[in-house]
Amino acid sequence: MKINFLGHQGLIISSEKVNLLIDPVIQDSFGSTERVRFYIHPARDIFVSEIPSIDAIILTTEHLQHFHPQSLKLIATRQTNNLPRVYVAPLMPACAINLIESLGYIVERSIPEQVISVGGLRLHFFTADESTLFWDKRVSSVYIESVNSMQAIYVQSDCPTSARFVDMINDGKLGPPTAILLTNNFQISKNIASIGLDNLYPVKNERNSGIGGLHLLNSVINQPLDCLPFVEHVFLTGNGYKDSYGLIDNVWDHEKLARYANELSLSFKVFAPLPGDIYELGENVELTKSPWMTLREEKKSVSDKKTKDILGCIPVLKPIVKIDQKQLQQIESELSDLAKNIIMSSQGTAMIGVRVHMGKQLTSARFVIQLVSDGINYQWFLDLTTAKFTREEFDQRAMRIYPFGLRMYIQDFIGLLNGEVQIWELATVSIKQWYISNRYESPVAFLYEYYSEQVRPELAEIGYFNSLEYSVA
Amino acid sequence: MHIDIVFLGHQTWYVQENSTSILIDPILKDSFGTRNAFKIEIYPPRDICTDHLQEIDAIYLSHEHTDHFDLNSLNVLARTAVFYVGSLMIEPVVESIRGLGFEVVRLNDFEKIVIGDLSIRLYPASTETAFWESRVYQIHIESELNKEESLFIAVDALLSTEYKDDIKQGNVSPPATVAVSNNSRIAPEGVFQSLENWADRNSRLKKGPLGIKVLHSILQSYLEDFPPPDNLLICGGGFFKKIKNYGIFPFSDQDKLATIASDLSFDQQVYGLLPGQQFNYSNKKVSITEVNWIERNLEKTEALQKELKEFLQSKTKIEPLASVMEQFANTKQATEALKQVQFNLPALGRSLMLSTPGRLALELKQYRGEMVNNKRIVLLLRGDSNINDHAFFLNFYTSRFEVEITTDESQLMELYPYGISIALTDFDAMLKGAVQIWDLVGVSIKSWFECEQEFDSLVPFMYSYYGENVSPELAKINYEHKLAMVAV
Repeated sequence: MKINFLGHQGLIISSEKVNLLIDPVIQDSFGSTERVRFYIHPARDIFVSEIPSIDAIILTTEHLQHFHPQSLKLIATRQTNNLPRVYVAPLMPACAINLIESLGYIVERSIPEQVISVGGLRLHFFTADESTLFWDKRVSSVYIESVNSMQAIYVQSDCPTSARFVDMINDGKLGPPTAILLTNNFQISKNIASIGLDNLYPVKNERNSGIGGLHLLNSVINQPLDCLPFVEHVFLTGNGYKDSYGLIDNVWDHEKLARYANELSLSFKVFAPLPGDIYELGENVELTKSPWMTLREEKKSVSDKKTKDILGCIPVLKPIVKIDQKQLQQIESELSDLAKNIIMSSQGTAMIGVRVHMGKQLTSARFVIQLVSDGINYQWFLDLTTAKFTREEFDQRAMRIYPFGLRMYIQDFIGLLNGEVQIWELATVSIKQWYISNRYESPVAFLYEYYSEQVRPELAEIGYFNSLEYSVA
Repeated sequence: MHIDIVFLGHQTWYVQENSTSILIDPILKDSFGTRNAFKIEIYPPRDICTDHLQEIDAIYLSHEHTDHFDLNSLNVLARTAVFYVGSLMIEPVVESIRGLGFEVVRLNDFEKIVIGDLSIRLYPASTETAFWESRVYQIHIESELNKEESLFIAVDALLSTEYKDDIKQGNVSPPATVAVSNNSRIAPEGVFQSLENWADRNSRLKKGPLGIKVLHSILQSYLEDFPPPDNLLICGGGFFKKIKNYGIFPFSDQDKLATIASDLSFDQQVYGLLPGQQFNYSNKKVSITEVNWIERNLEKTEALQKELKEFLQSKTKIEPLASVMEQFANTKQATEALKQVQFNLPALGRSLMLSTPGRLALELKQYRGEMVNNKRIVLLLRGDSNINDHAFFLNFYTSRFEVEITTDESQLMELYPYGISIALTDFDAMLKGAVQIWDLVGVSIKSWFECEQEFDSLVPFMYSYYGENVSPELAKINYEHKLAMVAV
């Protein structure tokens, strides 16, 4: 079996003239809008016309880093007759399937524990375990075995190693994988910008302290291999993109992690593949380079230029010159739905549990949403005794008053409600938040869940179709 | 002078020191609840002569649930008493109490307030408490004349963490007496309960040494790492639903339970007061006397106890009612109601996807030997002579409620790992605030679930979603109805 790495978590797995394309992003970048792009890193040029004929496509999740409508469109236009069948994770949201079908593909939703045969390859999907975070719960891992060569590859994707998979290996129902593709998507933000679930309050970020790299090695490599100790070849995937503002910092590079993991291991070998690398499994793993892909120098990120921002936020979508009454109504009607769900969320429980803030007794108003613009700045607070957001005058010192807060550009919030941009894209470059709880009880964590593809599929679907328009070279 | 603690039934207390008195969570009538036909009655039954309560200085409300907050009861009290609530009490409760003409004060957590010869401090429930009880405040009451005399009412939620800390750090002297609540409300075999799993009716919940479990949980697990007080009072569980006709909940005679617990200890005194009993603890001596303004109805008490005894022997079954609300008047009304429910389904679907049962349903791999697909949660709306049954399932591929053509309850239980069956007329009334979710559960709602913990199922989700904290606008309408009924 051969594994051809395409960048980030995109792959072609081949055996006996069968080519499986997995989670392909074959363009330079991905994203819902042209205004915020995520560039594959290390950058590479792919000569699409020379990609070998594909027999099947596998999608492990609907997230944009894996499910790239534009790449699927390219493959479809290139391969005019006999489009490959697309096999998706058992819990793939229907909104993503709609898009794939609109491109002319036949989509087959896999069923856990049922085998799919593609030529001499057999595929088994394993849905994410209970311990997986909500927004990754629909991710599937795939086990691919080659009937003739007796080899098998386990592609873990963005969830922990499936306990069911481990059981099946231990019970002898599946042969142990020859190679396992593990995922490391640990990111922090450059220049002390706060991104993702980071906190504006100057509290110690536990993720950045201590022997962080060891912690990462333990969770990325040790935990899966502890359940699968007989695996000999380990490939590190993930962390293969950068945002256009240059805020994402993939601090622990795979080459370094692999090097130390190898020094610290007796039984397996860890590889840190680059885009274009082809590894052929065998007694000795052989590395060759793909003839249709070349690494190239990366573009400078925009953050080297001066980005305009207010209170630390970067505007993503086009500014709205003047907010009209209709837009305010749209925001307020959304906030009234949000209020109930926030109160029921783990952020809500954390807010009820807060006793004092900045040395003062708290009132029942414990969360504020600030929507900023180049003109008027807006602010709504959530009162726990009325389960309602109420508008009040914008206050720069809101962090002193409310123990939980969220700040973003108003056009970005409206864009989110219209499906123009995904919450994950905004949170990565633009949204700021503060909280006194753990990061998974924070406002952005709640938004990740509430605006996820599985709760707001109608918004995700708009974004998928929009993204077909943007092929950024 | 000494603190006197009078028990008025269920969880209502009257605390007096010298000429100062506080009334806590007043339920003063013989019943409470929204619908007259489904009133929940107080046990042991008693009559309270409320003339005696006209001079009280303060009223304290621990939280918003109907077994603590009853506008009918509040209406008989003199408006001169100051009303105290915690900082997170939902606003509609405060508004309706003000509507009756009381002055309401929201107290800061932990802050000591002196009321005449008594002082009080409010402690918010432990953050581990179930969501729908998370706004409970537990109250520490102390005599200003003698610090040794104090009472802590630790009911309906997990014991406040900060209270334990305050005692440890010496900010508060340990209470001489602690009241704990027995909310076990165990339905005898043959009777369904609020969180019954209808797909697994051989529930372990009604078997085994239940009484020991109850005592162990309220007197031991609950008070773990708490310094043992001189006296423990058991209260709560002091009501029954008349429609169920089996008398009272087993293990709700707190006096009997307390006697057993005391007997099983060398040093811990446990009391289960009867309504009208006055508890006094001074100079390390307990005295229990009777007040003359509360009269217990012994005849009715015995009749209810007998009813339970006979029911337990009879092995009969009590089935849920078709509905709490009346049938629809005509087809038009019924169709309107169905439309209204359907209008609410998208928002309900989103919240369900995020909820505990939603997450557990998403994680589920198999149900009854089959791999699960997109059909994991179903809502059955039972019709009546004016409308057919309708079912909607939450499609886990589209995350939307869609029509399920099967409307047979037992077939749905075969197909879906999670489901809820509710009369359309009841659902409609709940969406209009005419009844509360609490009025429906254990009477006409059935639910089933595949999760281990009943608290992770759909009915508790409904407690949260349609309960006072998340849907205060529904509570507000409900209170307004009640206010209108009360002659001010």
